[in-house]
Amino acid sequence: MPNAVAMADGEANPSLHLPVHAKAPGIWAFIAADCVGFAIFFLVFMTERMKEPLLYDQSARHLDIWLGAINTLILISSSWLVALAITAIEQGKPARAERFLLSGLAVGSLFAIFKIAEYQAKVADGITPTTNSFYSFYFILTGVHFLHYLIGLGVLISMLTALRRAKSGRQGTDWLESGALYWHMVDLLWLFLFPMLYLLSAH
Amino acid sequence: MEQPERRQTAAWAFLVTATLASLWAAGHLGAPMAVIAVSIGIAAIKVIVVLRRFMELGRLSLPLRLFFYGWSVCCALMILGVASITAIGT
Repeated sequence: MPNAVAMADGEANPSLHLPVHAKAPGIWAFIAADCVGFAIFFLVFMTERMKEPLLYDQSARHLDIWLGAINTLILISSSWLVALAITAIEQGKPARAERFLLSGLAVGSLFAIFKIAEYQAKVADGITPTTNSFYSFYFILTGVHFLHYLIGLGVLISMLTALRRAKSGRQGTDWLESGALYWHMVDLLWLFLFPMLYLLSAH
Repeated sequence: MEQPERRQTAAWAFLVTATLASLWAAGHLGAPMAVIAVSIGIAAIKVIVVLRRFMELGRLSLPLRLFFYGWSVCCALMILGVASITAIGT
């Protein structure tokens, strides 16, 4: 079985090595397509903002910049931990990879807590997707991103399971890199969403 | 800590610092265009850092590398351009 390991400690295990970007062309095509889709979303949002700049500025000022920033830091940190996990796999250190992956999952989970709290605060203030066009975009853009995020969490859980199975020699690890790339994409998209929704009107 | 991990950790520290810098800029730069330019500029740099350090874009073929760098720059320029037109018009 390729890329399977049969050890559970942190020692280097040369039998566990990811092929360096050799088996992930599909995920790169998917990420490229998703990035194009979000670029169109960004363009539509910005052109609609151009029609009603005052409404968009006033509405955006009701968003909590700190919540947006905290969620940015959460995704950045989770992405970093998942990158470290992949590096550990490439170095043949499955136990170390598992610790990083688990940490990445734990940190990444915090995004949902803050995002749901933010949605709840908005709804409690009577702000919904029908309030105005800014909030329609806010809920749609962050909602579509949140859907990507939830799928990403599922991917991280699957990666963790796969890594554990690989340690017992029952499963290969070929697709782990693709899973990590998907998770980085969730981070990538948020890096543009955060300033576009929260910071453009903060002056 | 081995070299790839050091690079990734340095990238993470940079991303955290850049996020805090954009937050500071949003609160302290008075001119709307300055806030827009700085926050979107920082976002584009952060995207490229994630692509290079976490996603290891450098290992991909040239067309794919060009696509993703192009995507980052185009998104930033588009947001910046439309926001500039909007700011000038108000």
